[in-house]
Amino acid sequence: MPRFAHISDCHLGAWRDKTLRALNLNAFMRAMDACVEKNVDFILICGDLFDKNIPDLDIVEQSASKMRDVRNKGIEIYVIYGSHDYSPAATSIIDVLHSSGLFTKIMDVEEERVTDKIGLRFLEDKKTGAKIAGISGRRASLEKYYYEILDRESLEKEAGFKIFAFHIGVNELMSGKMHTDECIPVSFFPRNFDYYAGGHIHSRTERNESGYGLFVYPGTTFGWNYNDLENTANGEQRGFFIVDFDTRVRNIEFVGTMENNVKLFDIDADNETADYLKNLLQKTADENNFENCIALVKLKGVLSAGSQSEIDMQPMRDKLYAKGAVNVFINRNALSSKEFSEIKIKADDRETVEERIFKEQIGMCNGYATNSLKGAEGVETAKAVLNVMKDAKKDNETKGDYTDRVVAKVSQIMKVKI
Amino acid sequence: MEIISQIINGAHGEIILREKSDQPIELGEIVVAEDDENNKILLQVYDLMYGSQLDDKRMELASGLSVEDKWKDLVFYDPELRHYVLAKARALAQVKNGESPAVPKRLPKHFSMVRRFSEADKEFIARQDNPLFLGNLRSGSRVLNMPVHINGLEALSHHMLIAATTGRGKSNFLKVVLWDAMDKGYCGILVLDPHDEYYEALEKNPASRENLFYYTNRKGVSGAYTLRVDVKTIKPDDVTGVIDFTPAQEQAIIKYRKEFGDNWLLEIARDRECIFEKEGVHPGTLSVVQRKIHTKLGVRFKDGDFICDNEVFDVSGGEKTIDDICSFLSSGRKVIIDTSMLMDEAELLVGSIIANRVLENYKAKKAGNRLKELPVIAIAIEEAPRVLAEDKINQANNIYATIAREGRKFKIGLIAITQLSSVIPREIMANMNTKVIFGNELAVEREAIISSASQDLSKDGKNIASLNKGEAIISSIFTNFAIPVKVPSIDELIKSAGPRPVAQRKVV
Repeated sequence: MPRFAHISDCHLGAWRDKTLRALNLNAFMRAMDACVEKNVDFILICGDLFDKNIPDLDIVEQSASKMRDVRNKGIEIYVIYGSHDYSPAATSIIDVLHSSGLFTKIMDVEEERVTDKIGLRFLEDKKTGAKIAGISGRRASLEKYYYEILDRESLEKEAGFKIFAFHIGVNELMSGKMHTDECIPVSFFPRNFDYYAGGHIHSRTERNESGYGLFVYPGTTFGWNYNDLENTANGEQRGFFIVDFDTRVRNIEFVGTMENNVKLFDIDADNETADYLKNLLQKTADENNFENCIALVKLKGVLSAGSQSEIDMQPMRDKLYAKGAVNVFINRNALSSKEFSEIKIKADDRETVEERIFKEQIGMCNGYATNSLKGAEGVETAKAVLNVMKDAKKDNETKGDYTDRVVAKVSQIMKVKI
Repeated sequence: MEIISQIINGAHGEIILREKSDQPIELGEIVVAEDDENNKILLQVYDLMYGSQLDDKRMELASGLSVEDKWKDLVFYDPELRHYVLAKARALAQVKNGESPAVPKRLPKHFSMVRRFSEADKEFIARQDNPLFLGNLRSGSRVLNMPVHINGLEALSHHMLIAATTGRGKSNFLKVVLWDAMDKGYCGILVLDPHDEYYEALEKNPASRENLFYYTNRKGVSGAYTLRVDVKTIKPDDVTGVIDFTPAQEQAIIKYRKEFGDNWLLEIARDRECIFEKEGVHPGTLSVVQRKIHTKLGVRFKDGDFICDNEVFDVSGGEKTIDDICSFLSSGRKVIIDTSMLMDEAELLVGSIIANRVLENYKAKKAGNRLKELPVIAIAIEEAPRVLAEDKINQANNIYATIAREGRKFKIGLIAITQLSSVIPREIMANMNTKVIFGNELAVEREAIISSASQDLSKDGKNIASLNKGEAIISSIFTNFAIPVKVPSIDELIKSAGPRPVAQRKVV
């Protein structure tokens, strides 16, 4: 029976920390190996294969080499862009690898051809006859617009085993945490597909939608930020799906990709002193097993006496490494002290903190700000600009080229001439 | 301005006008008495009768001669002076020197000339903050080019009653209100739509793409959201407010809630052993609760699995639905829920869950002093006596009655639509501070509305009975007088708006 692998959100190149970056890549490698081992006919990657449109080249080299091996074993790879590896302003590594023949990008909406209605072409996998159509992810969920004007009827009429690949949240499948502005309702999808292969959502989700078909998100293969790791520690499985099918889906199997355990140590120091917290950390380090695990130490609460700076985390870190941890992640974002109450924004990860600060600051913008700088659109614009600013200078890139590249991207995002 | 009648007699509240022969006056018509001191008094006609210089005996004789063919050439000399129409009118408002309209406390001058109301008399229709369009001003059956607005922020939080018999334009009125409010951020409006009749019209509004959210279980409606509610988001108060439970059954529900938290409903459906029997829950009681949950919500446990017989309640999906709807409403959006495929209780339960969450949320905002910045939320419910009738309002946890009584403190109002105002208790009717009164032939229904109206409509019985389709009277504490309006057809508004613009491409 034909079978394919459905993978998404590998975010290769994510993580500044070298160990986590390597572990992330390793999860992808394991997924590729599993695909070969389990004899899949093709692999479908539903967005965010890479964390940026132009990721670090060592990551590209290693992952491309692996995909080349897979291709050489006769397994086709099909890819759509995700919200991270797509850029409206520049070429994406996805385009480069597509052009090199490493994988096939599913042709979706061509920007310049968008009119009142858009039709999608099916791509047929030669080995299995499966027909794939889809819509890539875009920054700031630009693809919502495409779904709205999608010619569903022509897609619905097509016969055969059909897969719809997408990279966006589906409102009806989401948990309460996902903001509706980032999702679309299921009614925007064409009906009568056998499998709706999703990306963008980092948690495993499967649901048969009445009147449509089977919607599946495999979630991320490793994780992209602290929240993802925390969710893994809380039981979220990381991996991908293998789907057996003939004229319809017969079976789906989840295959894990995490090599290491992720353990969360949630330490509540509310109303405790800095000294008490130091002891608590010591005790946590002494009493637990950290062998081969990614250790997340999450500190929260408002210290009644002493400050965060009094707590030296290095000994804790050293001890955990000595006890076999492969990585130690100490999150103090939600810890504050009464003595230093200047921290107003509490959140679990950097992205959330940034978003909340933008929301707060943008609320103060009045008459002079254009609409694109106000409200939710303003937050998205600010986040996009910040992401460009975070982009480091590439090796072999001159300072001038780097400046020009950043200025060009920012001016495009802000729709101004700089 | 052409004179149409003259004040000849009467008293405050019953001013008699003598109609000019070639200027017929209509029931409900608004006319203006103006004096040379720049006083304008607005009068509304509430009754018409014949007047004559002949006494009754002479008129009867003249008629006999005519109908019995005894005097074929019978004519009256100067008939326009001998026979005429008298109109009874009451003063609605007074304007002096172009100032704001006020309630008139004196009579117009005796023998004041009276003219028709016209667009030039716009000072009588006060400008409103947060204007919400209710229709065009109507004088009798003449529709003027004067849109009537009400302060939507105030009016919606103080509840609105839309009363009429079938076919008089209740649904059309609500569509028109929603159409006008679509892009107005000061109000979020939830419509529980048992006939699935609102979305088709309202999605044609140019602002609907951003502001209208439609929940349905119909397939293939592009852009619609699936109406699916995770049963774990249901709280006991939501259920006990719309389904009748005995005190023993409610106690049983509370025990499951305490023990199982959000899973209380599922655990009730699953329990075959009556695990709380030793704590006083009788197996028979549990069995009845299970049956009610099954018949009303469609949730049951069979062969090791939870089964939801209807598409609305779900054990593994729809976790976001209620939060999303509340979020849309509290950001000034409009939400239509197609409940056409639901049983009565299920429809009311969906509304009850949302209303409870919205009220909880707004109460918390008020406690945090942040209510001011939020829009008013109005919940429109058809056949309002289902939840607001005498025997319903005292039911424990009836959120609709709670909102009717105290919702305005928290900027939450009801838009109650009904054919049977008479079964809604006076206490609730008195809280409905804006009444939109359409034609009604039933005296008992008219009486219920008139007796609780914000203005004295005691003489408007005939006027209300004579209202044609789309004609209404707006009686509100937020208007200076009861305003007659003609509500345009929603089709006219759609036509005048033109085709909905295609989706705007957002390039980031």
